[in-house]
Amino acid sequence: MSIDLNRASTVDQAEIARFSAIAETWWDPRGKMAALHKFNPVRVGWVRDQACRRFGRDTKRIDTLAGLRILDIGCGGGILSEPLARLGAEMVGADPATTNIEVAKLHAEKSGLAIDYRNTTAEDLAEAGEKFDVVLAMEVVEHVADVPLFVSICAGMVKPGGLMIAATLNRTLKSFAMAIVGAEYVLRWLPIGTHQWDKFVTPAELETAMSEAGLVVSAESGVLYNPLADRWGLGRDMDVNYMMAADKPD
Amino acid sequence: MESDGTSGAVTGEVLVVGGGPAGLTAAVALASGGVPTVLVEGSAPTRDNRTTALLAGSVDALTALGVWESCEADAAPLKKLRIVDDTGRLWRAPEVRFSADEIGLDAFGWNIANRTLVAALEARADALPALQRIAEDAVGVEIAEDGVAVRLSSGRTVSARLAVAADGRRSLVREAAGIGTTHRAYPQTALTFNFSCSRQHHDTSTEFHSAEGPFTIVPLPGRRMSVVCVVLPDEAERLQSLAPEALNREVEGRTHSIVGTVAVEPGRGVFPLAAETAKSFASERVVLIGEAAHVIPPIGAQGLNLGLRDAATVAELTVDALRAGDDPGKASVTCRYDAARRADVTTRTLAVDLLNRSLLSDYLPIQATRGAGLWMLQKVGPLRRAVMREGVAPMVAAPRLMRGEPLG
Repeated sequence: MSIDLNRASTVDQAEIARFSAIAETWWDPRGKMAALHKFNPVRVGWVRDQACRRFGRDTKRIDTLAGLRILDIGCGGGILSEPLARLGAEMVGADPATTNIEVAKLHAEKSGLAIDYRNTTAEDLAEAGEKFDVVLAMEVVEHVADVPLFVSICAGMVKPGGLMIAATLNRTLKSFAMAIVGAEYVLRWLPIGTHQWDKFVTPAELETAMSEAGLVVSAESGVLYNPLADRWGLGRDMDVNYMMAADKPD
Repeated sequence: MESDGTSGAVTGEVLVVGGGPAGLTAAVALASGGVPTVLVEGSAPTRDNRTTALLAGSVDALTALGVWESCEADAAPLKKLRIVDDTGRLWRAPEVRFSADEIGLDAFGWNIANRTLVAALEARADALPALQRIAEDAVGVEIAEDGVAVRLSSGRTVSARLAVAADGRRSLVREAAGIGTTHRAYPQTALTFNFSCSRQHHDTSTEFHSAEGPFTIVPLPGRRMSVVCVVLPDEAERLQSLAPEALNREVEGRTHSIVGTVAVEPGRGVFPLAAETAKSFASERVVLIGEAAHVIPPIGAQGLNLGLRDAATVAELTVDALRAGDDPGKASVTCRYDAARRADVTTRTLAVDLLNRSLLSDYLPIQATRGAGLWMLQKVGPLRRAVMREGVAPMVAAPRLMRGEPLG
């Protein structure tokens, strides 16, 4: 890590100003993305623990992911990629939105982190023959058009002996009430229209897609919101938010 | 941690400014947890004759850090504490005795020369690959949104995500962070020195409370003891200038010869009493520990023990943040440090302040209240034990290291 307090840059200043404004909304823990910031430590911890299990690492080391090449699909502003990079991972962040990638690059530079952000899609990365120890599809499965196809593309990029992790929303009456009516309309955590409930994916559907793609589901967990503590945590209830890890055999 | 040979810049995850006991403990605790740490410890050698009564939690932390094993033999256990009212006033308090075995402890703490403790910490620091020590003075501090840079006397700079200010009561880092302090001056001065004595001290520390302030003798290994003598400035000056033989007589008088005849050792320190507390113990990129955060009078063995709890807390929070892939210097992490330390520091500063004021006061009801308080402590077992437990290890602040659990 190195911090240069008087950094010079050749990038167009107006562009930087525009992206900086957006970056601030992405990275403000009390701003538009507040819900994601609260949610983030839980998924960082789970991803770390699953990767440590799969690769025989010590979760207590502060560089526990050192040497692991990890792909973060739908990386947005880099809220997940940065902590994983700090833990030592060689991160590749992919997002089809140009703005997200510019925001993520700008913030990583400010944080002194080397993250390979790419304005591209999972399909194009797979086509280019990219391989990873871990492929993450966190909060993206519910936005794709064809879940089995998307999962098979992701699984194809996992090296033998590697790991795929997905986090998404279950399609239940409870998730309709909480994620859409609650989070979007009542709590205004997310812009209205962020989610379409009929695109949510049940754990059974995700597990089937992963198995068909040659993966073996190795762990799953619900992610629960405690409104009294205003905090997210792990739990067995997978009715709304959940995460699933699947191993690719050697 | 990287060293760039060409520009002389050094970077670490955390930089600790100040190589006293609190700064060294923080650096050792951080590096033991695998955190790349740079310790800027200053170029002047310390000439400190003082001793510190390390309370149980501090010893547990030093044990977990692998420091205690190399200095334990040079520390004396404090098994009994005694408070003697020597004010000669109408409302004299009864003598109060505290015994460590009453609360199931071998000792309340261990008294050790600061120099010995620092040497043991330095030896441990040298054995930690994650720790880089720099014997230069910090001359400038620049705090930016994404990190802190410290300019050294040689012109080199050290940068990190988090700066731990352990640079004492006139902290340069605290000033750069724009954190103010509240200051309270006391009319007294503390004189410190050590002596050897003809009788055994029986691992007992005694505080003689006089109207000017407490005169405390604390065991050292063998037939040696350390003294903290709190008096008015004129008296401190008089005692400071006394020939050794005259000071011997003075000590024998003030201790009523309970440890026999004494022979004072060379080296006396004079410290004007003051209490100073930083208005905040943290801001983005900066946390304050030790006397950069709080100065309290040397009464009741609280000052450095507070500093060691600061060090253990900052190490724990930093390691936890890094294990979660978090930036340890960002405001949401440093705020947690401030919240974790506030209650502990405030209660201890207040307790020491009240005790000192009650001694100084010529106001009869206050003397009576103090007498009644000490009488209650003497007579009411549960209260006495609660006070002892709280004095040794606070309920409000127990970082993992203070429970003897290593971070690594």
